[in-house]
Amino acid sequence: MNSSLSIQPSGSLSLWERWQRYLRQHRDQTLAWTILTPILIYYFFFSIVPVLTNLVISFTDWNGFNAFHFVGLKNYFRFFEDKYYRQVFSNTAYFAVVSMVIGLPLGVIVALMLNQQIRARGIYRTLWYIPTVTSGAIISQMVIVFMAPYGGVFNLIVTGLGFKAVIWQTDVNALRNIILGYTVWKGVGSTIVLYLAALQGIPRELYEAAMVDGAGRFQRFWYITVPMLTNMTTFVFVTGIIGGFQIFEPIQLISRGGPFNSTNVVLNQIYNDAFKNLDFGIATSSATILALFLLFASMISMRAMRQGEAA
Amino acid sequence: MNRNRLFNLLAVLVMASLILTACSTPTPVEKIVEVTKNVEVTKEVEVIKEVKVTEAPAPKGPVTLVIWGEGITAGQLALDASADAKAQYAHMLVEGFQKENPDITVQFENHGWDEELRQNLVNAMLAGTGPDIIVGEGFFKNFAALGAMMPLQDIDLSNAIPGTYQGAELNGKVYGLASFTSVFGFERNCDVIAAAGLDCAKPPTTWDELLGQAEQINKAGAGNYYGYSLQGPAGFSMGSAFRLKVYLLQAGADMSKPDAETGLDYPYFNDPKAIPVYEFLRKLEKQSVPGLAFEPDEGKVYSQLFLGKSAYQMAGGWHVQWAKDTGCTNCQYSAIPLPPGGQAATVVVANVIYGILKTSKNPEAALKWIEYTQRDEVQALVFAANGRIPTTRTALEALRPSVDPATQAYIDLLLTGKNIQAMPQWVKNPQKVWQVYNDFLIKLFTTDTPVKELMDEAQAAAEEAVK
Repeated sequence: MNSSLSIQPSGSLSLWERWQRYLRQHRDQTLAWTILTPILIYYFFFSIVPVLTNLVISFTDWNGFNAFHFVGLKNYFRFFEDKYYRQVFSNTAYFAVVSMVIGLPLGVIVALMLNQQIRARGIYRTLWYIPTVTSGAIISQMVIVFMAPYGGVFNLIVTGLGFKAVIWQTDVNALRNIILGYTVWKGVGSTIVLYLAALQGIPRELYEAAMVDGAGRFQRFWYITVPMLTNMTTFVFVTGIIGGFQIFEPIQLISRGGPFNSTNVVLNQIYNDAFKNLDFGIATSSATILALFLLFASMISMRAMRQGEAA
Repeated sequence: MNRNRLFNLLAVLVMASLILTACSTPTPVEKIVEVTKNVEVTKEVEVIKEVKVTEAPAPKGPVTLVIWGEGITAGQLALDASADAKAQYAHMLVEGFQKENPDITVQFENHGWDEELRQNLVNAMLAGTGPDIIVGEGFFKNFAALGAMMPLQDIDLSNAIPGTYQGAELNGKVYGLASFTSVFGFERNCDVIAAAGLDCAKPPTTWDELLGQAEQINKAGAGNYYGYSLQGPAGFSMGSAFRLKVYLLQAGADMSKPDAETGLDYPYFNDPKAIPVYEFLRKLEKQSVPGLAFEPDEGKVYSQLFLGKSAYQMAGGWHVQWAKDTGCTNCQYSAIPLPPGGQAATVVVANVIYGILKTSKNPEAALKWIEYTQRDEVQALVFAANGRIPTTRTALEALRPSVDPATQAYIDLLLTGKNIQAMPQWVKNPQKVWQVYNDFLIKLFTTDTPVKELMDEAQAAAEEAVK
């Protein structure tokens, strides 16, 4: 009975019948494409098109009002040749790397502590995570109140202890450390949660076997916990660096990039160039450079992670 | 395999086209026919586009005039004008104008001020959704230079105070007019001055007198009150630069000079005449409330005088009401002290300018509205609404007899002042230039480096920033 269908030569079918037969034969694929198409269209218009537009503008001297004049790689050269932008990039790298160097070990230590069977553990975990879910604008406002040169909390403490008030806003090191403190404090909650999950995934049998073999607390940590956290460490490091390079809120709300451009970062300068200086060429080329840099850094880290797994 | 891929691609394309077709707005068929059939019609369409960008034609029939106004007036529109005198100005601007022009509906919107406004404006203009009229203070010349503003052709400026539209004047063309304004005067808290054993009836008239009195007050205050409130570099606020420019102008110096090519302002941070000004400011900072000069919250800086923490400060016209509201019953006002051989000068501040965007759909209605804001009956309501001062000569003269002596002093500054200026609008990269100036001020107030050296360094950095 079915043979009549199967042996019917496809050349004798109409286009509609062939389409129907195709749909029957590829039901799963059709369903998948039907579900995916809207999101792909959305992705195309709201991600691909802006990225490509950004790329095109980066080769122009567009100020938002004039016609596009293509200037080749001029904006890219400007970014690397101008010491202002070099400083901005190195500030960004400084904040990203140092906040990671402080935040990652801190996250591990706190996660190890919160992984112990202690009373009110849930409250401690919540307290550590609150800054992560609190709005950056609110935390920034709080920081401003604390570091206000006149009547600020820090200076009330400093003067209360008999020292001279500090003008935090004009002190390069102080302000950079305040920004770092903000970044670490706000970001460490996520690191802790990730490490807690990783710690709870380590089989207890490993520790029990090690104890039977006479391993001490440090040896158990060094030979079991640390290796078992390697993948998570790579993940936290990669996402931390990517996030660190995109630091914006504290700069925009606390320091405005000053003093002496010492806290200015790439995203903040992209905003300044686009909306204050109306120099969309350098703004978009900076965005492209940052994106390429992060892509490159991610690729290297992912490769390292894969090599680690293989080893 | 290739066939399958072809079908997959076809399926995606069909679905994408269906969705896009469903989402798209219908295209008027007639237009397509005209353009494709007749080459001359295509040309006509191009001409219309050109006119739209440069000078939009007056639309026939009812129009909606979209105005981006400042927040106070926008907020007062929600109040009942018959019950609240403060709201009368806002209602006059909208309802009074509509009454006279029944075919125009005014849509008065608040999109913030300063940075927030500029960001919203740039976004709107890039998206092609800009208003007919924009409000602002410090970017009209920049926008005009970029070709985004429409000059106010044939507008009568004989009654307007020149300094109030200087911020919107580029190469002889005026791109906006201020609806209300203010200038700087000198404010003192007589309670503090009396506590220091000085006579409040004799405010300082020279910089030397000011420094001398401030020092005396500091000594007498012994940490409880100080001689002066100086706003220094903060990074967030332009308030400091506004006031420092007054001192510069008094000494015949400036922070900018005209750029010959564009007519915009070129940084001039190493004007030799400015050296004594910055040296004076450095000394004045030592007599100021400690730390206050670096406070980013401008409101906090200037309210300290009302709270009895300092004796003197430079103040905008709105301080008169602010002082009363904050409980300073003995705050008084005088002319700003002068340097040796100096001339009286001031800077317009809180100067709310309205201008027409070139992309305005209703430029004639927009021009009508801007002219309307200059009328005596409209300007007469400004002071009651927000404590700011009118911008036309006749309105200022009419208001003068009915206000307190302090406000009279501000009105006199506008009516008789020979040197009233607006803040510079930099030829390029305003954020970087202001950052340079801010950094210069930080070094001025926190180091002992010679002023000349700091000025030259700032000038070099500013020139780099505008390259």
